[in-house]
Amino acid sequence: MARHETLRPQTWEWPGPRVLLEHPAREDTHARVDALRRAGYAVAVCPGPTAADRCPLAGDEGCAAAHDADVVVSSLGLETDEAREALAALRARLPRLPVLVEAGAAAASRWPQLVRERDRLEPGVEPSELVERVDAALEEARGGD
Amino acid sequence: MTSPFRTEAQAFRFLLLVAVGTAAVVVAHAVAGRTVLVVVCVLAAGALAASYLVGRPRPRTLPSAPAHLGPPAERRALLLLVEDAPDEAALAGLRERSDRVLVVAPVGTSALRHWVSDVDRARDRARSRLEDAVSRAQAAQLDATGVVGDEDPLAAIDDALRTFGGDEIVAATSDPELLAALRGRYAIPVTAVSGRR
Repeated sequence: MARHETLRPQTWEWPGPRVLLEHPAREDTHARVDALRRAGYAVAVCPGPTAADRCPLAGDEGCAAAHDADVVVSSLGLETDEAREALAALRARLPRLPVLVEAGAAAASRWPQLVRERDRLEPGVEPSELVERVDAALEEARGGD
Repeated sequence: MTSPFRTEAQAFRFLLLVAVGTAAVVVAHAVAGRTVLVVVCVLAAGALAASYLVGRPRPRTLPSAPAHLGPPAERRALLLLVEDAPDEAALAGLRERSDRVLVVAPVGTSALRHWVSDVDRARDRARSRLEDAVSRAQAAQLDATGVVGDEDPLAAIDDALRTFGGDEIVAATSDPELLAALRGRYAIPVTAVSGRR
């Protein structure tokens, strides 16, 4: 991150539906973004908080990208305090927002308040399956309105 | 209340600067005349203001991209024409992985010309470069069209993504700052290609 940025991200440039990918920079990022875009979603990618910078969701400023997203896909894992804090803040601030979490079964069972089994994605989920799960999560959320 | 400082270290540096500035003012008051005191006060205030302005919070940019436009299997590319048109090798590479290409030529103009609304010549130059690049892309058997875009390359790409779409950005530039800005703003692949010699 550049030295003088805050963690409050910009608002979305693109019309919805919108998916926020909380995803560390990895080789498979573009494949997931591409699959979601071809399925009709605008996509933003957040590399997540670091030990030096707290997630804005956990602070006063909030996160415009998360607030205006239709679905969040968290691939930050559950291993670090920062990742769990971000996920907890998402759950607390945006309780109706569908949040899919890429995590192993063992880690998910250790943090059941953060990951419901039906919201869990297997680590390394294929882009096509990711799209199906996002479609389903969005459908369910809309059905619940 | 939201802190105006991004980190505790930044707040500490600001506090340190206040202490140093105050000390300088006190010393100047004790040993120097009024003129020196005024100069020291102005410098101290300027340093504090600069420290705050440089370190003030700015929104973080998350890379993002709109939904794909066009048939699902079609691959579209945006060719950003900042410098010379890409060479034959770059065009051949683009042909391998893209079905359609939109060449985007931002109007390259100076701040002064923009301020006095004198952008016609810059627009003509951009159009000329665009026509040359599109012709060369079509000669390389690319399904290419073109558009003269906003003076700001990022705004030009924004507009192109809204109207044409794009699954990758190919930038004919060697400007590392522009490449970093493109990669920081868009969640689609951004590659740089060399210009024609």
